[in-house]
Amino acid sequence: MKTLLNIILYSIKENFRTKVYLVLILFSIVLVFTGFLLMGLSGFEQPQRVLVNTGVTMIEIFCLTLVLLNSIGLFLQDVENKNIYVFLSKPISRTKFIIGKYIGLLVVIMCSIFIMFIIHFMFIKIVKWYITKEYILTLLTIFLKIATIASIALLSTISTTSHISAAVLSLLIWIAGHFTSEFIFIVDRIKLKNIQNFLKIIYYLIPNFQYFNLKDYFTSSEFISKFNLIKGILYCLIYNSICLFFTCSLFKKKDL
Amino acid sequence: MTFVFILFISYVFLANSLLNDIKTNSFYSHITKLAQTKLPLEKFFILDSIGIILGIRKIVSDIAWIQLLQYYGGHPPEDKHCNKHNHIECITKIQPGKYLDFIKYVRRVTILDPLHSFAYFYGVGALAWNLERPDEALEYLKEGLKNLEFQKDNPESDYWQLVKYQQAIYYKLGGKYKEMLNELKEIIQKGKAPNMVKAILANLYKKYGFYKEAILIWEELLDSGDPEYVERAQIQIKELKTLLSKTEKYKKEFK
Repeated sequence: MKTLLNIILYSIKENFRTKVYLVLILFSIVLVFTGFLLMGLSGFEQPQRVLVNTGVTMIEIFCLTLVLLNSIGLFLQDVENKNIYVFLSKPISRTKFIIGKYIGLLVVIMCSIFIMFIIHFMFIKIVKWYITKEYILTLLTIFLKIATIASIALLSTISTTSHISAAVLSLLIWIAGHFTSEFIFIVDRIKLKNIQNFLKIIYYLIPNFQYFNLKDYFTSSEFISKFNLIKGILYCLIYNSICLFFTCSLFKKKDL
Repeated sequence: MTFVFILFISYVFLANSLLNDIKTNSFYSHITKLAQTKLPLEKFFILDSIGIILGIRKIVSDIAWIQLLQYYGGHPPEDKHCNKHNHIECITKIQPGKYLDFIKYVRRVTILDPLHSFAYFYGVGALAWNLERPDEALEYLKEGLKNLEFQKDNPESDYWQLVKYQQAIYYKLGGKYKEMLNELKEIIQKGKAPNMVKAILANLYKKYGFYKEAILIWEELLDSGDPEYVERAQIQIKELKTLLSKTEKYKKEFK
């Protein structure tokens, strides 16, 4: 347990060493410019709505960028700089190393979301607007989505060992994950059973990000009330566990 | 190995459960509708598609909303001789037969974000009264009612507000103008109406001789500080006060 904690701490330090705060500063600048620009352009018709939507979207986009850069970049950097041997030469299992890295990354994401939320909240207060409990739930689902894509990014990094291919693969899964509702709608209409079954398997392989995409609907409490958070968390936990299981299995076999 | 097997079984079970949630939640059906809906404005196809594939429909819908305001705020593309410094007729938005793409612009907003109730109010108001195309307004209104149907149980919801717009349009088509005015008045009193709808009611009050009521609305618009209406409100208040004094003078003479 202590070794796992050490790896987590190392992962957090490493993430912060990559100047993660620069992403947060960038977030504030982009939010100020785009939010207020869009607010200005929307005139007197619902300017606050525009600021809230821009902020929530920015939080997600910046977290995605952060997770792709750090999960892919840092791991491969460790291998290239041979920092990884510092850990692997000690009696630490490779599984613990991966899990520690992953949890460390999640802690950094959580902190980033929290800081970005504070910045966004300040802007919302400046324009004399308010936030709802649906907004908080939306941030939680953003975290779940980002945690899932982090596990996918780790898996693709280990399996491809290339920055570009790992990033592209993760990004493609991110896109496909937002298409699941349309995808299953089309699959249900396919008459050839074999193709339909094959596509259904693909549907199960892709994470269902659309279910967690509350940021596109958080203005409606009626809709949000139908969202089952426990089921969502369980789904993410299991999906991420499967991804991490494969990552660890691949990493164990990897000749470094 | 057993652990992995259990993990897979529970994953499939949960994934199926989420799928059922999606299928039974009436709102998700609007998302899947995108798979069969053609985006109304081809020139924004790339932007809209990016919004859809990256799961950022809401912000793209906000951009679409701004583009709608810019389209409707600018001079009508059909009117070649309107320019920046042209007369008051070009500033006013009561322009029947113009802004022919208005419905496409407003539909684009709500295809991307079917919960954008304000866009329904704005679009229906402009189409029915400013652009004098009540048929298009009703067609668009039906889309709104379908998309907001899940709010039906709440009498204070936007769904019922939209129903009021529908009733007002039917009164207009049936020539029952007094009922139409009452319906619009109720819409405004709820506090969710766009400033444009308030201006519509003020204009209708003026048209039917309710000058005092019209002045009150224009004063409210003036106080709101909305640059779109400040200038117009000042002109209208002045004009309405003259009309009011003339009417009162006439009434006194008649007595």
